[in-house]
Amino acid sequence: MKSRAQRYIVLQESMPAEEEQALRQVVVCDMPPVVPSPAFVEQLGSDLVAEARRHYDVEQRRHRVTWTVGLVGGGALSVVGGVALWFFVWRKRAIAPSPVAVSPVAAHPA
Amino acid sequence: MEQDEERGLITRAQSDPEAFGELYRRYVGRIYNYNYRHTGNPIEAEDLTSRTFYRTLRGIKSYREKGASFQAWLFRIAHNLVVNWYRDISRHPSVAIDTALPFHSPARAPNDYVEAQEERALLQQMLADLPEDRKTLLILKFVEQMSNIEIAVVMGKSEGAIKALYHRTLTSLRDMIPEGWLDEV
Repeated sequence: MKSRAQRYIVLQESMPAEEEQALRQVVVCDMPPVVPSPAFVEQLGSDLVAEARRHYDVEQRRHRVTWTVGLVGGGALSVVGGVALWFFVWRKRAIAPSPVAVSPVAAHPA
Repeated sequence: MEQDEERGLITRAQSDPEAFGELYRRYVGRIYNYNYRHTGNPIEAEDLTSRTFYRTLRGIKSYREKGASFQAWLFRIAHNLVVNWYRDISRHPSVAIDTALPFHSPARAPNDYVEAQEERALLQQMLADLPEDRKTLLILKFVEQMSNIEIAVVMGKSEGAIKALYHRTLTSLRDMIPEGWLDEV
């Protein structure tokens, strides 16, 4: 039985660790950290906070409106549903034939 | 501990503008650096950075920590904008790329300094000429020190694809670098 290493052909060998490290160093040395100007950071920061305040206010207001509409709408719907149910039951009772009205003659024709 | 603190900050930033400002100050330098590495131009980098954070503000409510860390999520937003930027400059190729950063080394002799500058310029050119995905990978891996999983989230690829791309990128970089350079490192 062949070992796993013998059964498979190695298509690509990994790079030696020291070579990888050297390449990493070359790239990192070529990319020293660049910092944005303090004026830009300060300006964008205050713009973002102002925008965030406006954004969250709008969201909160929308949330409140959704809740209110849901609450009022739900309440109105339940009242309408209650009235409809009462009307349905009342109508059913009114239409149903009274047992006294049934004639025994009609029930047993000669 | 630090992760818990950041998690708390992210949760607060979803409804508190000041917390969002704090989150911004934590990441602005890294996002700017990432954008600058791609564009080579401070004005473009500033523009992309501000767009990244405005997009983050719009989407932070929907952020849930499921698999992807916040930094991966944030860099993904920046990456998408960078990809659009590359698409735009390919349509308008006249945009100049400001490459060289001054590299002062007073301890070196003038000849060595000039030689180092030339080597540096060559290397910068090689890195600038790399395809966008390879450059992104090198920045995220070497500068941002992200894991392969995080890079996969940022670039929208599988972890296996990132490993393969990493190997190919290093191999091509090794082939491009003149002989002897790596021995000097």
